[in-house]
Amino acid sequence: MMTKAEFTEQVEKLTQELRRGIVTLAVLSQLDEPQYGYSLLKRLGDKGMEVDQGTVYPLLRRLEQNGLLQSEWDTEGSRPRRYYQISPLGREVLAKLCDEWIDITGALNVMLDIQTPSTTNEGE
Amino acid sequence: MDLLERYITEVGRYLPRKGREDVKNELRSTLEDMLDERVVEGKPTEADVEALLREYGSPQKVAASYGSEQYVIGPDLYPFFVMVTKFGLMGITIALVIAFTVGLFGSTMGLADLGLAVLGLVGQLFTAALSFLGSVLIVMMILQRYGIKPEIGEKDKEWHPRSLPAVDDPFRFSQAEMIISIVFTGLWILILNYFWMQGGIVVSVTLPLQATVIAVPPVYFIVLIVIALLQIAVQVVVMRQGGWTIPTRAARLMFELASFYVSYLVIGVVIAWIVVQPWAGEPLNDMLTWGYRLYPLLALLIILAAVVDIVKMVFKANPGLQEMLVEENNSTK
Repeated sequence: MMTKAEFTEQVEKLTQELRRGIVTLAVLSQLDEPQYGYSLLKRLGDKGMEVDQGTVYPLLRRLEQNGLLQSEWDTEGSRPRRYYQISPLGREVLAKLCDEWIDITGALNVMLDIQTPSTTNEGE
Repeated sequence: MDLLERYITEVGRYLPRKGREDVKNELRSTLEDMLDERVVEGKPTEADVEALLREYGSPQKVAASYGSEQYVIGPDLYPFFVMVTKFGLMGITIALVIAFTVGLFGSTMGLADLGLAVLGLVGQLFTAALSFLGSVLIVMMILQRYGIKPEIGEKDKEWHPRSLPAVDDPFRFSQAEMIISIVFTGLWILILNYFWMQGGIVVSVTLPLQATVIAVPPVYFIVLIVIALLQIAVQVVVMRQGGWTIPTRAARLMFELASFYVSYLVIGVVIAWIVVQPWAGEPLNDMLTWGYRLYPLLALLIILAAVVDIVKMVFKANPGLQEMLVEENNSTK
């Protein structure tokens, strides 16, 4: 039998896996205007997506290395900050990912018997 | 602020050199932002910083989240590493035990000496295993270091079942053959290593521990070991690429010739040693010197075989020529 702690651990691990790809989509969607890491983090949080800093900063760097983001150090403010913004390539990728997202959520809503996002039916 | 700098420096220590300063600067500005937000009035105290850092996580964890995976042997290579190690260790054990058993015949040892000799064998096994593992590890590390580009996705797209080689293709690439060859090269390295340590070629060993050695300059052994390691690397590349290509075949030729040349020099030393032995005489000496002169001809054979292989590959790359080639092969069978 699985103990309660093991159960929670299992759920947390799977949730993390599930969120990993989604965070990329969320980050790309919020970088139309330049943001530095911490402001992006708060912005995501404000919109209901709590993300750990340990995830976001490395992700930003990876996306930049892959050319989906551009970044620049701004040394004029109260302290130097690195601002990230989506690149033209990033925009293209984001559009594709959006299509994919719509397909996936559509298919999964049917599979999980979730009516529409507006109803609160959890689908027993 | 001292604590903050100590923290950032510590994180930096675990980061790869490339981009390290950048990550550190970004981390600094983030942490300062977070502090500003938490401490509304006045300067942040040491306790504030401590609480923040504790929450942010241990330096190792933070550095690890930047996740440029640094493997000695990564998940792609690991199964291969296990395979080579398994075969190699098995081979070494078998070879040493056989050598030991053969050595027992013709020796007149008491029980106590035998016990010592067995202990010696265990020691030998241990050192041999260690140096084998060491050389395998070095090869794997080099592969990992330079073969890390994950092009697997692209390769998959280009891959087509039709590109599978025909069953009777002379170049059909046999993984088992390749592994056996790698293991034997590994054993060869061990032997070379042993000779190097003994200061030359060990002709006979009488238990316990008396060896007749033909002195050979260590540089020959070192060069041969390096070439053997490179040969293993080529074979591994071939396995990863799924078959021989013209560059890998050319590399093999080069290493074969290099190894051949050094062996030629070593054999020269051995012949010079034999010729002055009391048991050597005219007919044997003549035969050896005559044979030695013929030896370079073997190099021509190696080159010839490689040229044939490479020409066949060129044919193979061209489908029209390939058909002709296959027909020719079938008709000659």
